[in-house]
Amino acid sequence: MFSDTIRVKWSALNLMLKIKKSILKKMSYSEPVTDKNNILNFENPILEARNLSISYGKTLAVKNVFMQVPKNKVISLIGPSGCGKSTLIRCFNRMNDTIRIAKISGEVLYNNKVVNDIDPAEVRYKVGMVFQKPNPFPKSIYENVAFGPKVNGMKNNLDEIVENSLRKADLWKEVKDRLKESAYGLSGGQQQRLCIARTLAVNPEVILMDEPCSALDPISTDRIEDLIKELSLSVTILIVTHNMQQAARVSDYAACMMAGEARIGELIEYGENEQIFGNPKDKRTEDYVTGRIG
Amino acid sequence: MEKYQGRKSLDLDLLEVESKVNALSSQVQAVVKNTMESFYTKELEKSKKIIDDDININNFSREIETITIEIIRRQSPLASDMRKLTSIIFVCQELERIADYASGICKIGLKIGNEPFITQFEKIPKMEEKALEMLKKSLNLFCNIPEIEKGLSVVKELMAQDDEMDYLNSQVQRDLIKRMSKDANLVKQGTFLIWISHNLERIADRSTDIAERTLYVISGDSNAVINYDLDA
Repeated sequence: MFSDTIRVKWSALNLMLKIKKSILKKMSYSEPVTDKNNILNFENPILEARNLSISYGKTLAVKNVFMQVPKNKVISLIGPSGCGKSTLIRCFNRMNDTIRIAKISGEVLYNNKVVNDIDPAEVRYKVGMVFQKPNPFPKSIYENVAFGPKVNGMKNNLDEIVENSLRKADLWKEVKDRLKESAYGLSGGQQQRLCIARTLAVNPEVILMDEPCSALDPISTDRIEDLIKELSLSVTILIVTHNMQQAARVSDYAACMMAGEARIGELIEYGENEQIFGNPKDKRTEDYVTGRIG
Repeated sequence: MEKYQGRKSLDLDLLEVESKVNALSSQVQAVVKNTMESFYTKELEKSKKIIDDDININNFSREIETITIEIIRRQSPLASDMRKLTSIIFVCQELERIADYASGICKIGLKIGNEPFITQFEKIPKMEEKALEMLKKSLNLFCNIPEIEKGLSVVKELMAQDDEMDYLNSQVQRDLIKRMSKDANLVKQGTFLIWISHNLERIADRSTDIAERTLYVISGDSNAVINYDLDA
């Protein structure tokens, strides 16, 4: 019974991935190109950092990042603690704006538009974020998911939006009979999926995930990973993780960041999953993924 | 002194399994050498012992495989560590097969028994020498992983030697078949000798496989032999 369910899910996912591949082929999807700095370049990226440097007060945290994020793919961002991964992804939806001392130079683009020229609320709808620790609002499950659309002025079809979002986050079956109960009554894994449903409710194009499974048990982690693969059919996912095996399992591409002796983070290699976890070109990436620096 | 920047438990595990692969390599090389010696000198007891001891090689190979799988399970290795560990499993299987070929030669030796040889042994000793040299070279390469250039040059040498082995094997076969077609009394031993030549050729072939696998450990490219221009 159990294995049958897995088999059905697996074949459905495979079918979806095949359809996705054929659609991308028809859209004349061009292969990414690796430049001389071991960084991948894509045509029409959905997110892009151009010569991005970020500092906190007088301390430079991340410097000269050139990174392009392709549409509807899962990209993992790896690197030792303190190398600037979270700092970097927070730039993609202007979350660093909330930190007074954070200063940014260079450009961040969303669909070829400079994000600083777009209203921060709009950027955050389109580029949603899920954090390390599940952070549901102290409201009911329903209200948590309906919050974004309500603030966005969407008053019709709220029930439908909530149901669809919860279904997409693979949580509907577990909570459909207790939508009015507090979100705090859910388990950690369910709360994290609720946060993903809340992000999905406003139809984002990109979801940034900052270590979304680090506080979860293996089964909840597995469900989030399945979810990431399924969501990547329609949403771009940029995930920060310290779990190399997880990054190797879920991502299409991986980017490795590293801080040198001056403690300034840099993007040192960005390539396909097989390359980064199978045969990295940069010695530092090799040392990091094999656990010899960290 | 440079600060140790490793993954201590994984590095120790690798060291342990590598030393076992080294030991298995030495054992298999000794078995191949002793096999041919006992064959030429008709030391049937020695041949019998080699056949009986083959089980030890099989067990040792399986032990290394089990340890390697356990390391993979426990350490979740990636990149070069993973390539090395998966290749160790492959190489152990190749070594186990090579020892089987040696054991096969011993069995043929027992079948021939004290009957006088029908040949002066010109090409078969050449094949033995070449097979042993190739085995030594490939195991040296695998146990002391070099830079890609060095690896490529060794593989290039081994591929050339493998071609020579194929040629010698076909010559041995041709000569023996020719003689057997003239004298039916030679058929039994002639067929046995063809098998010995075949086994030596297989040892050489598997040695080349080990060296090619080493290229994968170095480069991460499973088609390194094709993708790197060996004539360059």
